[in-house]
Amino acid sequence: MITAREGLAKPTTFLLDVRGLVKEFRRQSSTLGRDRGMLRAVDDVSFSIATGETLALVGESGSGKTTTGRCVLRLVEPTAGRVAFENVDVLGLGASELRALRRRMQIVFQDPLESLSPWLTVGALVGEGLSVHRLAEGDAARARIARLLDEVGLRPETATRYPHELSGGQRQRVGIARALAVEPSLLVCDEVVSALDVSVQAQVLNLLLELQRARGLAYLFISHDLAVVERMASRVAVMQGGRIVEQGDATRLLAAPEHEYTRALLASARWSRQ
Amino acid sequence: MRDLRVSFSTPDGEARAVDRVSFDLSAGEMLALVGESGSGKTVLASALMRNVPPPGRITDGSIRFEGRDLLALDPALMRDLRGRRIAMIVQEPASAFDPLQRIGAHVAEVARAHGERSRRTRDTRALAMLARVGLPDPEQVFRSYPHQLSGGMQQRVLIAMALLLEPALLLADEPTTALDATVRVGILDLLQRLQRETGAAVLLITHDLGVVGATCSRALVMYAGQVVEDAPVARLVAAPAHPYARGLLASLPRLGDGRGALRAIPGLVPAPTAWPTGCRFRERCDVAIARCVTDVPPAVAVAGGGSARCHLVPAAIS
Repeated sequence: MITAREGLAKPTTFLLDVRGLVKEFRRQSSTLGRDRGMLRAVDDVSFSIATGETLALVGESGSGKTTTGRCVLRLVEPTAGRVAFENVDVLGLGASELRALRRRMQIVFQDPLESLSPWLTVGALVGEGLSVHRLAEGDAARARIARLLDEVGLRPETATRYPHELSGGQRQRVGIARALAVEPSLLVCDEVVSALDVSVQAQVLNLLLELQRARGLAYLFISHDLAVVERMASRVAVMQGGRIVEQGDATRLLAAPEHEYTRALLASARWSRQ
Repeated sequence: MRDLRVSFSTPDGEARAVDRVSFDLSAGEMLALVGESGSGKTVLASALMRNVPPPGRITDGSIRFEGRDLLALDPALMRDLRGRRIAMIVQEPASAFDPLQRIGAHVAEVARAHGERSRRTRDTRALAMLARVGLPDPEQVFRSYPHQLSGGMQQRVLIAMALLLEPALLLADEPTTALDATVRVGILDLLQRLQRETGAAVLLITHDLGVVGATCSRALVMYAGQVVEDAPVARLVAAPAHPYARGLLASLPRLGDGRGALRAIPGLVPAPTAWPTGCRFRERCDVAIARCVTDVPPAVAVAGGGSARCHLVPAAIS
């Protein structure tokens, strides 16, 4: 059903506005491949993010938070709903327009090694977006790659190394530099620190906060860790079983959660953070 | 364990993954071994099982367990000890199962491998143990295949397998890292309860200081192959003595602290083939002095209990 509010094509101040997002997967029995109906991984999800803001999408495994992030970038095609980014209807875009849009919207994954081609050097990985989007070439590209590496706290000589030669934290910095190369306004961060050691996690979180301040970046920060989320986000949306069960101002939501599930999540987080 | 050393030969030279580590663990104690990647904590655990992966080898030191020298033990006796007296649970429960074997067969096999001849006895014991680890419908679980269970249930089965033969020592290597927070609480509760009931000693290996605070009474903090602090958990959390332990605690986000940057430890863990001279943490330390470059810090007693390897300990706890 389209409500009056959703039907209005008014320009918003939001960088990203997601309304009624749905993603269904065909559920199959593991042994016989029999059709067992549809699974709603994302079920009527709505949220928005302003320029320079961080919204955290919190939930446990299977909550639909990762699928939601991928639907926003159309790495996964949503079944229904509306995604407006910089006032462009993302779901209505053709392939070439979508490519252009990906310049403004980037994603950083949990496991940097899995998402980085092992046979490309760090310099080539960071510079890939520059050539794809024809932003710079030759010396200009090399200079930009050097600046990007410096910005994420990597030495210039890292450009000639391969991902497997780097530590987990360094690889995650490469993932961030690669995403930043095309000057996005929104970064989807999908569990970007959950595979990292505590001390490295702190370094990468601080880097993300610093980059946000310097570049006015907005983050869709997907995480299962409420303590990490509290550090990063001004607003929080809690997902369970494909739905957002509660969303609101981070301080309010973490201090006085209204939904039972949010309270349960907070209780387990407190238990191991006493 | 006394002065244990484990080395790996690498193209870049000798990597001293565990370097002169000593500690005691009493029956019924739950001890945490805290460290980040590259600290040597997993290698240390493999040494306790005498299972160091090649090309690693134990080059020095001794491990005494129930009055016996583990490093001198006959391989056949060591095999029997593993599983019966020293058991281990691992981080990724899914990888520990044969996907084609039912859960009941996995648990009963532990009893068979250690000499239980009667099939009925084996099955009865397996079923009783599955019930004991809090699985809702043990008979159903007994007949299930591993993939039909959730991660939390698989971890409970692994705990059942580990404790079936009532070992004296349980090594738990990041047993809850792969689990959701709400499931994690249940697993740690279970470990504590079984530990109290059986009187087994538990060595909980983890990178998560939060888990340590909730479960253990004492912790060893490892950095660069050494134990840099050995402390009662309450003191460690309230007043960490070693600068690395302090940095680690400051790096840990805590609910209620609000938005903004964390106090992070600068730099990276050095390579095990090139540990710094003197104190191994000095290059990342914010209070290091000239002596830290030249002199290896000895373990010094700390007010409030335990010890730390730092030249500045008295100053650090003032």
